[in-house]
Amino acid sequence: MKKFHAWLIIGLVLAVTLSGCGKSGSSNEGASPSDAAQASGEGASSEKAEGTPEQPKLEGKIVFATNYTNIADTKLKDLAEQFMSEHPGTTVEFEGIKDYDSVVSTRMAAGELPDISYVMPSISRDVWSQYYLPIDDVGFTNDNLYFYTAGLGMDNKLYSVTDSITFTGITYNKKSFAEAGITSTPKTMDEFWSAAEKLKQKGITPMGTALKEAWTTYTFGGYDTWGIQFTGDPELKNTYIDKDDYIDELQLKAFDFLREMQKKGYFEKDIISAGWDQFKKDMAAGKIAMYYSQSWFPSQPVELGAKVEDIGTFPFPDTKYISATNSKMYAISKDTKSPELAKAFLEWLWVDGKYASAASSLSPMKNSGNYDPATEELLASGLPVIEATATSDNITKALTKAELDIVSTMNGYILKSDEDAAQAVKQFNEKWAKIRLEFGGAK
Amino acid sequence: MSRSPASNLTIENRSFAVVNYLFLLAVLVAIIFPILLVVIVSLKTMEEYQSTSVFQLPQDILNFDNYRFVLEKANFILGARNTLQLIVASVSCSVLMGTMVAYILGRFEFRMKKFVLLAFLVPTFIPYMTTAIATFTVIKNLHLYNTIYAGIILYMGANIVGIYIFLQYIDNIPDALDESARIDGASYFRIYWSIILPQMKSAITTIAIIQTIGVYNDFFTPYLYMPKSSLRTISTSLSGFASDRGADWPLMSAGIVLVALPTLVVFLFLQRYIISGITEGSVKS
Amino acid sequence: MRSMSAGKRMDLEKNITIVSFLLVPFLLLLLFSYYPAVKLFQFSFAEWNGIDPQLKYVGFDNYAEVLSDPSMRQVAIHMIAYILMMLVQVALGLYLAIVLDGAIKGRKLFRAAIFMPYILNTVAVVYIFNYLYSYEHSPINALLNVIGLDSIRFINEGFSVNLYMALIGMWQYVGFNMVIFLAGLQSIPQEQYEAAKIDGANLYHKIRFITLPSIKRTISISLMLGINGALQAYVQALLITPGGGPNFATETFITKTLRVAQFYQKFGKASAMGVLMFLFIILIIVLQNRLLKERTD
Repeated sequence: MKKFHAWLIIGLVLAVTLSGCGKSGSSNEGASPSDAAQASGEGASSEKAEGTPEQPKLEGKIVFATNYTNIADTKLKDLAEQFMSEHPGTTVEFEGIKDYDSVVSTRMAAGELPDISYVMPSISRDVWSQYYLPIDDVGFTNDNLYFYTAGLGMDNKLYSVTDSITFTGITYNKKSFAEAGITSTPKTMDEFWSAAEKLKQKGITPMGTALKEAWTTYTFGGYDTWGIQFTGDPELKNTYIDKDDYIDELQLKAFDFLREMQKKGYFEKDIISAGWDQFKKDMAAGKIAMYYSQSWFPSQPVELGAKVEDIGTFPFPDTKYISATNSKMYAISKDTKSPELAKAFLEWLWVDGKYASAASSLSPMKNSGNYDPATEELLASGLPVIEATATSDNITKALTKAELDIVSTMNGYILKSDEDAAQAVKQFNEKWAKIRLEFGGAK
Repeated sequence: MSRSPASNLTIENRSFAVVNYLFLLAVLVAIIFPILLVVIVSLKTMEEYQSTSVFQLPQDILNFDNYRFVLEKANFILGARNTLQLIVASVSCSVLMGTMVAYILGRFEFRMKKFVLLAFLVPTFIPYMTTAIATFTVIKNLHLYNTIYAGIILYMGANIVGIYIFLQYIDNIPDALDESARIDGASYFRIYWSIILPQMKSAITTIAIIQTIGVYNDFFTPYLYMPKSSLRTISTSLSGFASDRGADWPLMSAGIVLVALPTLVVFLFLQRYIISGITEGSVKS
Repeated sequence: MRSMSAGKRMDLEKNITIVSFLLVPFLLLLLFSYYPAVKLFQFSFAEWNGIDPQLKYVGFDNYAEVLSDPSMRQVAIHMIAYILMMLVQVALGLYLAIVLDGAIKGRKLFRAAIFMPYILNTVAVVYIFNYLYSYEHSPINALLNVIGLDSIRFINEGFSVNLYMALIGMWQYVGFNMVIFLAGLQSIPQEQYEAAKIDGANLYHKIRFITLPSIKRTISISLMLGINGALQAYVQALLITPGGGPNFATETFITKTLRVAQFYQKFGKASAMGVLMFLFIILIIVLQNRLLKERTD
């Protein structure tokens, strides 16, 4: 009995003392003095229109919440350390969050918004001033930053900046094309079908979808990525608030293209169970030849072993324009304890596209020099680039209120029977026609 | 005293017994198969994995490269330390409180007794995820967000399975012991501490193990309430590692095995306590 | 006189003991179970995007929307798969406990091996099955092909995909059920079996008239936890088929609630779904208890 009690007491004491050890010190990386020379030099030659004002000594701590969990502890950590060595006494930290939207929303609801985070879909422009800090004094302008206007709040102050620019096109594995005897990238749909057939004959999957993940076909399902390539109108998506048919012939072109590809067997053998990881591996190995997406993609097969020169991008056949869209819009929390540091860090990360290149995406700054070979190839096609205007809040709100999701409708469309597919589109449009009136759509 | 494995329910019919045994073996295979697979894959190199069939044994059975890599990159040491703190603090409190609640419910009669039991049972049926926002606000208002105490306090509550098992044990401890202690002038607390608790040794061990497994494998709570990288636990380390290396199955498998190893070791050594712990309590002495 | 004051003192001591022992557990319950539950209830009557400091109350609109949503019927059908699998799981756990309680060769090894999946990390288990369920690369399909059978399409648009999802849970938890039943079995006194044997009872009789009735409580709680677990299943569907599966074939109550809350930012509606789910679970459990009582009385 006594021995038992002794163990119990030891256990409790252990519990209390060990939990006391929980107060681990803050992850202060500490400023390690290193070559400060390079820092000031590059900082000055940024694209800022006005000269860099004499910066007061920076101090404090900020956390940058990123969804790029895979580089948070590696490349991004290196960036943080570089910044801190240039600005001793400051602490900047990257936090990688997987389910970004839900986690950060939960924190936001409790008033714990990270110092720097991206604007989530649920935060419409009209409330930006409630949560974020205006950053007009950082030096971004329409002349040096892509999608500058997308970051303006209702009061015309700048609140957020895109972390990169992405161009839309079909990424392809050149080795697969060569193996199938395809000498030039298809410019028309006829050329595309014959190329696909050649690939299929060679036992190569012409195009991958990784449909199990559901989000992977998103490029087909938006007017700002798909539709704009045909019409060239930057405002295209926003005009739909006044149209009854959200899914019209233009969008159906994509829907039907996917259906046809599936029928002809040009996708993975079983698209429903096709996962993203397997798809990337197959693309890197050349077993899958093409994937329709945006500029963040080409680096992925390269990471898995494909040679950089083997991965290229070309515009979707029969399109007249290349669509360019913004990515995540980063903003500074209004309640940040170190606003000056946050602004300085944000600027430092954006200049020379440091953050973008760590994430293998394209710098959001204009005139930032050459892009990666795949993107250069895409742009060399000669088609004019159109920057899609940001989706207006009322469209986003209308779609979410009616629980209309075009990508999932599209994915279902690929698999359904002809009647069910047409029915699904009809139902979508009916719901849309009703909901758009609640959000300012013209009758 | 646990029953010897009685042949009370032996199968008389010979052929039925054989079929039965075969079925058992089939179940065993079905259970072991995925685990074996993971272990095999974890010992292969990436090239081996891609070129050979999954069933082929790795060239070098003692190829621990993947394990080494995972240990270094996934920061398991830090995760292990944090997880250990969490477990020791929360499981000890939870088990203690569980026994206290069971003591009250098992030994006392009072008006609200049924209500108390229900009060502990009902929350189990509330979908956990839906209350995340409100719980988060509570944690935040207590200033526990991003501290180890958030996890400790969330895991600390008395668990209904624990209460049920402890109740079962207490039912089997004869009231006579309590009564003679009362006559000697012992306080209720004394009775609890010196008489009841020691008799529940194996139940305590069992529930402690089960709760430890629960805390050890839980991913959601540390992810939402203690996201700071210095507070990483084993489960968040593994999942972070998994998302980066999704395509690298040999590495992932090594990660899975590494994470399972501590609990497996604990389990193998304390196996008799777990199973006999639950069973002993039900034996009417 | 003396006994009266002693009695009162005892009452006081009793009450103090009760209150002090229950104080902290109850406090924790209040803070982390009941307060959030009340908030959940509150949110269910509002239209809320999860972030706004203001709540806009809409009465029973959310409930009406959920109950009239045709896709909810679909989800309910999926949950039947989970309930079915859970029943198999409990039955299998009972079977294994009965068999492994008797004198069987390798008893301890069987018990340990079958319990092992329980200690694995659930996310790891789901990743393993994610691999096992891939159409082209699954080792299971490879095996089947070798012996001349067709590959199985585990992830499909039909009902069976939910059975495969539920199977993952069964794989992980059948050992736990077995252990709980083993405990129950060990409390049955041997004399009962011996007496029955003398009366000429065979195995079937023994199980039906001695074993099962004696572990009524264990069966009951296994079913209760099982129902709760089955109806709240979500991890496998969420991780293996993030978008809800082909045409939402793998959507469960919880994954749908998460989708409504996070993707469509309709936190009020999701809260209403949570409340309805809770009521539904309670309903099923009460029914199950009634049924069990009837059968054994």
